[in-house]
Amino acid sequence: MKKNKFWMIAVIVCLVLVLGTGCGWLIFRDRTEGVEDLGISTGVQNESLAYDADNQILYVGTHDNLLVAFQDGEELWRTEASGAYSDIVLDVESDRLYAANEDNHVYVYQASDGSPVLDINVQRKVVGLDVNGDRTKLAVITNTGSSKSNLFFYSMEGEELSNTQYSISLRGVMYCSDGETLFLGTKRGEVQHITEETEVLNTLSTDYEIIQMIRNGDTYWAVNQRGYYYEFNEDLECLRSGRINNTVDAVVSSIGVDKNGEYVLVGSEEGYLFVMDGQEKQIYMVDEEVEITDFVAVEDGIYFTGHGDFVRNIYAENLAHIDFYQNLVTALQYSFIVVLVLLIICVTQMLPKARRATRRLLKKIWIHRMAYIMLIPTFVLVFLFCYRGIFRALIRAFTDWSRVNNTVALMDFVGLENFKTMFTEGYFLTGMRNLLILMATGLLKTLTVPLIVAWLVYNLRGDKRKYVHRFLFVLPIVVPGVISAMIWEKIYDPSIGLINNILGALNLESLQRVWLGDAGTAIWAVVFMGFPFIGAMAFLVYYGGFINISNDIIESAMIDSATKWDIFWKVQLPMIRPQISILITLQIIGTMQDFNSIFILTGGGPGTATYVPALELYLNVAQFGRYGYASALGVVLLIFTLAVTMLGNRLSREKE
Amino acid sequence: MKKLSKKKIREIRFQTIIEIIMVLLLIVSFIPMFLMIIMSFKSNYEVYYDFFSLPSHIEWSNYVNAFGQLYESMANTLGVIAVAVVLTLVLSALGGYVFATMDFPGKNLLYYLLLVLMMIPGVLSLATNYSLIIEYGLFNTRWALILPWIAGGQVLGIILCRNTIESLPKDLFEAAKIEGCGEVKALINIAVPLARPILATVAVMKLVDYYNDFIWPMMVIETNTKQVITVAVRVFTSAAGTVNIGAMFAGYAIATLPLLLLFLFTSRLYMEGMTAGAVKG
Repeated sequence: MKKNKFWMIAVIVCLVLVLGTGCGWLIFRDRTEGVEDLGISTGVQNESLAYDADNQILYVGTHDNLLVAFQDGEELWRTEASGAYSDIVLDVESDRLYAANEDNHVYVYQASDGSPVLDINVQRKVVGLDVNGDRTKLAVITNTGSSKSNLFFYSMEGEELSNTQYSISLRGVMYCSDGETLFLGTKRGEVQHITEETEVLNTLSTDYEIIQMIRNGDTYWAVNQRGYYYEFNEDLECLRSGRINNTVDAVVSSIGVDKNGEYVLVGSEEGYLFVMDGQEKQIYMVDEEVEITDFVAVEDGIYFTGHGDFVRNIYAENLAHIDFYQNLVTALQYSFIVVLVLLIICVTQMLPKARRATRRLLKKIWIHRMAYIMLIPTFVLVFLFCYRGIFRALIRAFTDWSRVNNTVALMDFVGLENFKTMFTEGYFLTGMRNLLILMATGLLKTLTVPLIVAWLVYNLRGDKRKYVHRFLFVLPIVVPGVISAMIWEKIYDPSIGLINNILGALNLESLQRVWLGDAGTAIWAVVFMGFPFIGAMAFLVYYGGFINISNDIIESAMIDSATKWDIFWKVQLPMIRPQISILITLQIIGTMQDFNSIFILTGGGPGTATYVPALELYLNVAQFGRYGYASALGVVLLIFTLAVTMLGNRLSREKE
Repeated sequence: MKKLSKKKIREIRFQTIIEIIMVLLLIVSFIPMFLMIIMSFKSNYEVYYDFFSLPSHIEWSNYVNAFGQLYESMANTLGVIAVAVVLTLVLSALGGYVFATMDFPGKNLLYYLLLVLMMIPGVLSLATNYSLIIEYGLFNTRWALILPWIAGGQVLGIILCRNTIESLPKDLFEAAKIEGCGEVKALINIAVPLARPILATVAVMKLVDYYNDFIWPMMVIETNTKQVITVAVRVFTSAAGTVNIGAMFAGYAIATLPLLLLFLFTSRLYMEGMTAGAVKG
């Protein structure tokens, strides 16, 4: 009875712990969220951003001629020009949106409905603009060639007020909060404070090309190409400066700060996004794949966009502690599982019978502890490098896991979506067709040549001769498979390839082909690789089968004056059936997952002519980063493999 | 008498025919190797303008060129593979011994957990293993090759070792235990020496496997000095391209050399391992 009470308490404790860790897991999961997609789409590549905090309108200038306004995730209006919107500036009070476009124009729109107000033809590529304090003047910078820039001033009627030529590229223009003087960023790495008469008041020098300048409240920020960033005031006094931890050699393309000016975000042309905290420490880095071009601070984060159809919100404050929360969540996950197991154990322990059985089992385990200790390394490795990957693949095949969407918290279950994609996208079906060709020919190859050769070698007279032939037939495997594929790639080469040269020597030029580059011949070239198909393994396995048949059987057949032909078909072939069925299974499984030779010979091409599912899987991992889809392909291959293995087992058993 | 000689004549005729067939097959199957060796000694000019001729003079500079580019990754590959093979053997012997001689709760379950791995295609977990390697902090280290290799490679080793050790007389281990010999001692002093042939077979088979790996190293290794030879050859030859065809083939030959040497010394082991192992596995 006492014991029962003990287990009762244990059960209750475990139950509480299960609930606690479960809730904690769910609660802290949100905190691991660093980047969230806003789910708005312009349909093209984006370029620049502006945000109206009062009306919560987001303006997105795109790389492909569109300017789109969104409110609450819904499109408000869109308008079109003939170039990329390189810079857009919003003035809420006068309801104006000023847009610099690479089609050599500056456009002014009514911000609320997108109707055009003004169109200035600057006749040069416009890279930046700003509007002065009382909204009477537009400062516009242009670029012509690599080191020629102009600074224009226009009146609000579109009249050119002044034009100053610079013999160095200008990277950005920005009015000070006094509304009269301006900052200019140059390719020489300087930020100049100038008057409207272009008289230089002051200069801040950095060592590398200024990429972007932004205003945040009363202070200004600039970033240069190598990732040094500076916060400065109107007198160009540096208030803060730091540098991203540029281990990836990124070329910086943009800068953003949060509303409070604490977190600094730096984007790069390669798509890296760096987040620095108030102590200039890098707290986060993520690869967004496409160039990040602009940031804009909003109430609860920072929106950013780039050369893709996305606008995302980044929660800089969460990022500061993201590692901590991620570890916490992982710890909670594991402890949840552990206490759940404990709970189940405790519940079963309430039965005296179960208690006795457990004690016996534990005793037995203790006696044999040496066995478990000796197996620890094996199973630790198998768990870490085999089973974790397998289980994770089985689960994540049903999620939208990808290189961009790489945090567990953000992954969503999408049901059978990935599997549907296989049939709608078409690569998988092409791949299946090729796989069937390869499988059929592969089976034909293993079932013929190695079998014949094994039989021939078996029938040779003299052990030494047998050994020498066996050795010679196996010898070609010393050429590693990958190298062999590379040699065959050269055999098929149109100009220095063996095949075309032989055809040329025989005066059969009309038959010469670009074997691997022609969609009609490529897959057959892959099939033909390895001619005359004496697979060393199949050969040895068949040979092993032949020598295991006892001589008595053969001799008794000989006495019945059976020919070698008869013996082969009626005695030997039936007796090596296990070998045949194993080789068939191995062949099918091997063909299904091996794509090394196709990768080397054609890379799947030309076009998709030699695609196979395994290659598609690899490409989705290594190139496209669609991990979830790749895992789904893996699951399909797994199902095929299991089906084939089971079928093979059943067939060989039935025949026995 | 007459009948016998007729049989003999038929036998001689048969032997001649199969010898001819085999010689023909051998010649064809050696074409890629011949091509590799001949081309590796030719100059670029000869490749383009006199394809079928033997090299007029041996162009050693091809080998100098290729070796200069490849020796680092060759040394690296041999080092990594040596470590991986040794670890595989240790794990195979350990696991094989435990499963063969001991009887403990959950033995069958654990053994099946290993067997099942043989049926699961490796590509299934390509994406997840890649992400795990990054999570473990092993990306672009040599352990990213060694650990997954031995984790998967030990399975066949354990199966083969178990079969071999199980076929040894049981009294052997019982007697040792009565004399106060611990499990580890019994493993090292009795099981390993007797299982030496099968361990050697496992070593050769796994060495060839690891040496042939291409996709995985390409994914998890970025630094050239840590890269394996197969990938390095691919990188080197696509750089050499049409500019230096002789050196390209010399690169292939260099990459083939270690396996050729290995095979010359261990061909019997490899051939017997394949004949026996695959059927049982």
